[in-house]
Amino acid sequence: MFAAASLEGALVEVAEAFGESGGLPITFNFAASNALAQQLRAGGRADLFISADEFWMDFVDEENRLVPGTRLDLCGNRLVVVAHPDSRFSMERLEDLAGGDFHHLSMGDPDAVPVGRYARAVLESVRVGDGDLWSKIEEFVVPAVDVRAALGLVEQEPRAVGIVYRTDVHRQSKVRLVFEFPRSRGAPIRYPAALVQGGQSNSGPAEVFLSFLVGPVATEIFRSWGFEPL
Amino acid sequence: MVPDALSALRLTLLVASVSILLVLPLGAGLAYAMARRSFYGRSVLVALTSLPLVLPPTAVGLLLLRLLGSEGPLGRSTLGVDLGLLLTWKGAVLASSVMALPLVVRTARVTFEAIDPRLEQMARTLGHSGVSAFFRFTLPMARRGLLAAAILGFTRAVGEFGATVMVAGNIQGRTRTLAGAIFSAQQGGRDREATLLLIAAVLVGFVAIFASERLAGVPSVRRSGLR
Repeated sequence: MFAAASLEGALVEVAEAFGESGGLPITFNFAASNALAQQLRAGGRADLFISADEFWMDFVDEENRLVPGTRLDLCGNRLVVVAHPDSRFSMERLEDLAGGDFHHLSMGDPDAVPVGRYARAVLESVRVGDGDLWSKIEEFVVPAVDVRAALGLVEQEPRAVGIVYRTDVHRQSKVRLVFEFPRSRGAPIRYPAALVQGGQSNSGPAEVFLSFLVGPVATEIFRSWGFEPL
Repeated sequence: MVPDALSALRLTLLVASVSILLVLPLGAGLAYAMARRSFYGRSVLVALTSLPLVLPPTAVGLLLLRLLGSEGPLGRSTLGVDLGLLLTWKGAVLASSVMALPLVVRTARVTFEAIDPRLEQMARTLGHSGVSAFFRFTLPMARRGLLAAAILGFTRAVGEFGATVMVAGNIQGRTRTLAGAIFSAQQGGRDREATLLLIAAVLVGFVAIFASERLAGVPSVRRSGLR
């Protein structure tokens, strides 16, 4: 199973619950959704793919690698701003990012990684003075290969702030939650899932796991990790 | 697309050039000491300078991060000043230099070992000091080998990715070298940009390998003449 890096903690727990209910063990490949999509395009073998955005799921779909009719939306998420525990950075509104007291803005690569693409889209929509917020803070951006790497920089560097998912700070205290992106800003963050063409167990175990993912046990686990039910 | 690729190429050549300018004197000095002298801790030094060759580049990157991180021994809190290496092109130079050092030291050491030490002794019987003998005779005889060492180190620095991306990041226009740009273009599905960068990387590599083959492959006329 290829899955977005932000799902790692929750999916491992779901797979354990799946095993306890008699399901087969699942082998995961966690990475940024764009990296997984490129691997699938190149012919990588997988039974299931969960992307952190529609864009990369569409990309795989357009390569005709999805099993038609199996695509569904799993759960939602939100963006947050985080800082090092030693940093005194604070903000009240998104506009405060402009001129904020930080050296680096750590986020997923805004050209590729979903968490970075979502963040850039929101920041581009915020007007600050004579331009948009993105153009004001773009020079501070340190692009990361996935959301975990973006979080890692903030854990190490007191002068960096990061834009990650709310679920990344949910169960760990190495970074400080500074700000939650308003729900009204930007497109909602959704995790589409689908069966992949050419998988080994598509019509059997993979399909069973896909239905388990939207069942009550998994939904409760996703909720406990901070993901939003749809 | 093309300006970004050019900026990555320019930064790559800059980082690799500065790296080799730093590493060549240091590496040649270490290599000469290893080839000619026996001293306390020599085998430890040999192992230490070879380590980046056998470690995963990400391990070297992590080690440098631990050293340079704000709480590390070379960090802002400890030194009181910020060396300005993390997430800057200077950090890329540091990472590439560390990764290039083993190749430079090993190549230079073989070069010095191939030069008969009696030639230096003869020079000294003719009134040259040890330093003078080194610069007047040993160094000129070693120049081809040292140039080959420099080119090898340069190519290693050009290709460095793992340690660099951890220390300097992969920031477009600031720390994104060819290696980082290829990675980003592939990850983002920008195929044409990836192909363009690939061609640039192959060209740089081809020129460097060709040059080092020419330099290292042909035996020095002067050296055989002296024998």
